[in-house]
Amino acid sequence: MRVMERPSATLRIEDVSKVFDGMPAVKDFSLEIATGEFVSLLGPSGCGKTTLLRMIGGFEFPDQGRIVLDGTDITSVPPNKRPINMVFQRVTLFPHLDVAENVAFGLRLARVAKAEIERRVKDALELVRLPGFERRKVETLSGGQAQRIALARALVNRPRVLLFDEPLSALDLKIRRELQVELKDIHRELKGTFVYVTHDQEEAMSMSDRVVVMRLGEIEQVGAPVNLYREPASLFVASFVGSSNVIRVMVRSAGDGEVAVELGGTLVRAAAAPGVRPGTEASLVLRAEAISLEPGDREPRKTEAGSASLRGTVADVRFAGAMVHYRIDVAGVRLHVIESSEGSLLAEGSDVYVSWGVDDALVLPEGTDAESPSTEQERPEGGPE
Amino acid sequence: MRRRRRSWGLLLYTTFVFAFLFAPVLMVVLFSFNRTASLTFPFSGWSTRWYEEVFGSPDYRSAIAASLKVAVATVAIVGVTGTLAAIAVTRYSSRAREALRSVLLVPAALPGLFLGIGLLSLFVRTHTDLSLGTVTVGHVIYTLPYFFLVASNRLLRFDPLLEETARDLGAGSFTTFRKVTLPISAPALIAGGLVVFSLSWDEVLITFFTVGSQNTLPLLIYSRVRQAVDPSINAISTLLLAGSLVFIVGVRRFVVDLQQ
Repeated sequence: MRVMERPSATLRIEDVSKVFDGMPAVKDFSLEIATGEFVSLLGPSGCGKTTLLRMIGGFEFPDQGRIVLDGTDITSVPPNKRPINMVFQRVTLFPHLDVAENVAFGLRLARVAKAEIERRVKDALELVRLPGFERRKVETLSGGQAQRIALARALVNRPRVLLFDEPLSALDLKIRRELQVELKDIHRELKGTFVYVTHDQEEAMSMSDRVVVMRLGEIEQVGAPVNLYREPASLFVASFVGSSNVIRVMVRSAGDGEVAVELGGTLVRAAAAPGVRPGTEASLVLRAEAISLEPGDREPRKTEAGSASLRGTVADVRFAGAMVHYRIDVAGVRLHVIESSEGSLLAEGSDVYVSWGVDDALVLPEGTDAESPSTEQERPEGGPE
Repeated sequence: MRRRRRSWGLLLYTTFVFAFLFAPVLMVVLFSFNRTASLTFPFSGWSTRWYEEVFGSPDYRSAIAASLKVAVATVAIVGVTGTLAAIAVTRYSSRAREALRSVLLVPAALPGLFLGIGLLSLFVRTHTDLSLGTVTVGHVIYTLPYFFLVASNRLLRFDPLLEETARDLGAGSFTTFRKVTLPISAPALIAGGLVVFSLSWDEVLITFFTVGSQNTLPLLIYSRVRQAVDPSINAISTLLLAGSLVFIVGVRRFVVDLQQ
């Protein structure tokens, strides 16, 4: 829908498919990426996101479909002839060149005038916050610095599209966070078209204009981070993009985009996705921070019409600075609840009222996702797909 | 106490081993400065006459020049063909690669005698005049596997992402090789070239069968030793030893570079 608002699309991927050794890696993939848009391809390893990125970069060629850059078909153009640059997963600085020579590599090949090369290298190093690093040896750089230089080396060429293949995955958490913020600043400054591959949902959500959740070579859902988070189209997306509780429930009655489901003997109303039918099992998706808790010794606060209110017990309290994480036993299931840490905390073992608004609860049909992803299993250390 | 005694024993043993290894070398160096032609003690005096003989002798000079020509030509030919072969091998699937590597390593496993006789009969049959050129052909066949081994090991370990990065930044495949793959692999290729040089420099067997009228240095030394006791051999050997030491230091530098 955003694409509609921006007709000046820079990159268009049309029905692209790619098979590796008889296994489809990318299937009938279509996407339009607008000028200046920051799009993330998010998914577990093996979902085809890296293959797709490599096809945009020219390192793989689609078996069918087209890749169109500003109206020009670039499907079979080799990488050295594409106005597209990539920042790779591992540090790929040339060890026999110093920092300035690395950054200038593409400009020299393009026979840019010497004075201009010097100026652009200087600007690029300032942009990645490493001014004065021109004559440094590559092996003296830290991991974070090296990846910044790699970024400078890519963007100094002023690519029409800048590609990122999990460039931060090998770095420490702290440096990764810093670079995420900087990358977003750089994107704001350059207004370039960025395509970013990651398996880290937080990274994708915090930086991107749009996130493409991929699964088994296909698009599972495309949308702004907040939309994906609030309205996941499937259980796969729900469990991939946020800290949601997924509870199996029985659907009792349905009507008008809303259903009543049975949760531990109580009927609860919730918004429903298409395909949820009465008498079948379904999944109730509840975001951890959408649930509110009230001490159980008080009268439950008057809740607005239709919201659920159940009695439960605090099983576990985990204090995490601004937030408190609770585990609440309610109606035979254990819910993860995140609350602000302001005010008094609930004690372990105490009784609570658990409530949420009808719109905060989403029921998705069972069966579309036989294997819903476990987030741990989907995050191998760094390896390519 | 005990540790001390043990270390004395070790010292003695080490001294013995080193004496055994280097006594012959020391003898050669020592007698190269002897005034007379005798190879027995006591010395009748010091002189540099054998060195003068080496430097004054046209035989030695032309033999050294011949050996240098052959070695340099061998390094040049093997360096280019061996590097190209190594690049080709990295592009094959692992099975084809292993097969090709085994085939390319065969000449190194063959006895030099066999290779020499084989080449000689080939040259005779094709009516090729024996010369330093035919010697070089023999040396190329003999040393190529060693160079190929070093070069292909390095290129197979080469990070393909570095080449992809160069392509991404606008380099075609030849430019990628020239600007990225070659400079990064250069230490290994230079070390391989030094190995080839030293193999060619003191090769006797294949040279013996393929050489024409022009002697190489090892052949000249060999023929002189066969004829009579010639103290100038001590002098040329000492010179070669000094050259080798410089050479080894050079190789070590590249090998250390390689390991980094």
